[in-house]
Amino acid sequence: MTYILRRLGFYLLSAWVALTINFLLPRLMPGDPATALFARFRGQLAPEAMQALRETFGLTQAPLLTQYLTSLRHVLTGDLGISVAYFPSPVSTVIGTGLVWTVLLAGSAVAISFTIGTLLGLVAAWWRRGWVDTWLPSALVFLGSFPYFWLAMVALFVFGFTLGWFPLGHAYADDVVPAFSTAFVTDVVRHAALPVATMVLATLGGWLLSMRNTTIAVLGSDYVNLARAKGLSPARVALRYAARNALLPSVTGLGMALGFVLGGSLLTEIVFSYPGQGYLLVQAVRNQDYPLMQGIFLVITLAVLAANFLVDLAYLWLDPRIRESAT
Amino acid sequence: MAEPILSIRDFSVDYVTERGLVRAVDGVTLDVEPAEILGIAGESGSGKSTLAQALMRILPPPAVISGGQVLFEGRDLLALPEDDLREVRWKRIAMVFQSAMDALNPVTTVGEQIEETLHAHGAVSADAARARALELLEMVGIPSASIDAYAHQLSGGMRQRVCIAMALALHPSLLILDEPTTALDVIVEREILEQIRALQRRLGFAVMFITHDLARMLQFSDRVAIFYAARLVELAPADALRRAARHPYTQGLLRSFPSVHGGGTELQSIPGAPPSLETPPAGCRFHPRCGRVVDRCRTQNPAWRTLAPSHAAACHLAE
Ligand SMILES: Nc1ncnc2c1ncn2[C@@H]1O[C@H](COP(=O)(O)OP(=O)(O)OP(=O)(O)O)[C@@H](O)[C@H]1O
Ligand SMILES: [Mg+2]
Repeated sequence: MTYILRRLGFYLLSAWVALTINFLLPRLMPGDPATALFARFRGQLAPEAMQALRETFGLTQAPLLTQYLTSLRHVLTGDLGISVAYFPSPVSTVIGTGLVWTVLLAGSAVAISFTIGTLLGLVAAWWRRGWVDTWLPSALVFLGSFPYFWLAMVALFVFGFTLGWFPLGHAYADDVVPAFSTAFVTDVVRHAALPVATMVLATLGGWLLSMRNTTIAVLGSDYVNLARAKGLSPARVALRYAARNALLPSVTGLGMALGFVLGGSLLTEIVFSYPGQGYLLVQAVRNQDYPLMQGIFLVITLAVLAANFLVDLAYLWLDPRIRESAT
Repeated sequence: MAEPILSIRDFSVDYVTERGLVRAVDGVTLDVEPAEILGIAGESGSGKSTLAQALMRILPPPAVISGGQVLFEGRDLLALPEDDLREVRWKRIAMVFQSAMDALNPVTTVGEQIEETLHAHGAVSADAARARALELLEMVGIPSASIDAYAHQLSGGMRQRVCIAMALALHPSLLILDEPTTALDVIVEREILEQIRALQRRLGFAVMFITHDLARMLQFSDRVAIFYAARLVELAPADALRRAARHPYTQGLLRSFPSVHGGGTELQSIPGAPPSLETPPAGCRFHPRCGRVVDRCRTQNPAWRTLAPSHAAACHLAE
């Protein structure tokens, strides 16, 4: 239990640091960005929007500490200000719609890549120098060495444009009503297939190699040797002994990957015009929508922390040595 | 004499390394009789563990078995299909690993690891398996509460006992003990060895006892095999070896163990260090360290000579 509390404390502390940096950064920038913004938008922006901007940055006459506390209170109540680009929608609403798509895209990409890559890594290590072990790692590393952007464009061009197997962009077709219906779900899957596939291809090699290398090390360990000596079935040796132990380092990697992918799905979303966080971030930059940018950074940071906390919980469940020190 | 339970014939094992093959077991021929305790002694790196694991065919790559025969209860283990071999493993030959510290799966409980062994070799109910696991743990003096413990919760000595309990789970006819007491202090070590000997007398299994502690070995074993640089150099009953070792290496070993040599003459260690197995010396492998070396030793590999009934050695000077 103390382990969970300790980790939770650590993540809360990190979240607080992130919030503070998020608060300080605009104030540390040379020349007040908000004032520069006001100057640029004078005449174009409705006075309400101007007011919203001012409030987002807490640029009132109040002392810094008061501003800081106000901003903390706003974030804690889910109030991230008003978006400039999508005026007058609140930033939290704008991010909310994007977050769903990003989590869907990045989440399924990581889950699929991790599962397949880990299984292939196990196969490669178990049948060492078999064909999976000989061909797959090098092929995937070769694929992964292309810039991801290029890979995604080629996939879009070949499978979307030339062959027409997949739609060219967006999360679902305009003529489908968003509802929990078979038609809608199928359509969403069709739209997500290509972007997810490119992300999986680009990351599969890493999972495969990491699982392969730890499994090879575990297969040389004394406890696996003892398992063989005990006459256990090969399936049991491979799963209960080798895979079960080799999985632990990969699970640690999973936490980091979940975080990276949330931020890193940016490129995917641009290439496939997918309306997620990354796409929103581009809109925010283009429109100098600082409240939206700040909100997105904050959400990504918090998502990374949350993902890592989930991984810690999984680890706790998988590794009795940690469970021990936890109680 | 009855048929030996295990007959190792001209057995060789290599490690494939970047710089070529390293022969860690070189042409070993050795018998284990039913219900005897055969000691195997030799310096670190002389190939004792390799021999033990190779004859059960559990050595992972880069090790390869490169020749010989291992006849166990009439069957050639090296020619046996993997599925039949699984039957032999643990049911007929069980083993306590040198590194009991690392020999238990870190993510499952001790009880589970004993029970799965029972399940793997016959239909047992979960309750019966657990009862048997408790009985085995009690036999080696582990409190029954520890059945649900993980390896990291046990001391080195307790893990070693768990490994011994596990090895006896299926009444094997051959028990291989690879330095079973390295992690233990002297008192616990003696206690465990006494325990194993008592069990061995009661249940009548044969033991292959590997160690580099010659004194312990002479107390514990009926017969002793001495290894030097991947080869067998002397084989004799324990008391014959203590009284009249014939190989200069064995003699050197005896002189370097205080409790064996018992005072009188001065304690001496063997000069020099064991050779690397990558580039073993020509002729007799012990000749660079031997005080009685003659020309022949440098070029000719000494033949295996029977010197007395059940006493043999590989030395040009032993006639
Ligand atoms: N994976 C490996 N690759 C190459 N050589 C190896 C490997 N494992 C062992 N060896 C070599 O095999 C030889 C025999 O090793 P082994 O572990 O059988 O010795 P041992 O007699 O059991 O020693 P100890 O008393 O230290 O346990 C050693 O000299 C070592 O150099
Ligand atoms: Mg050894």
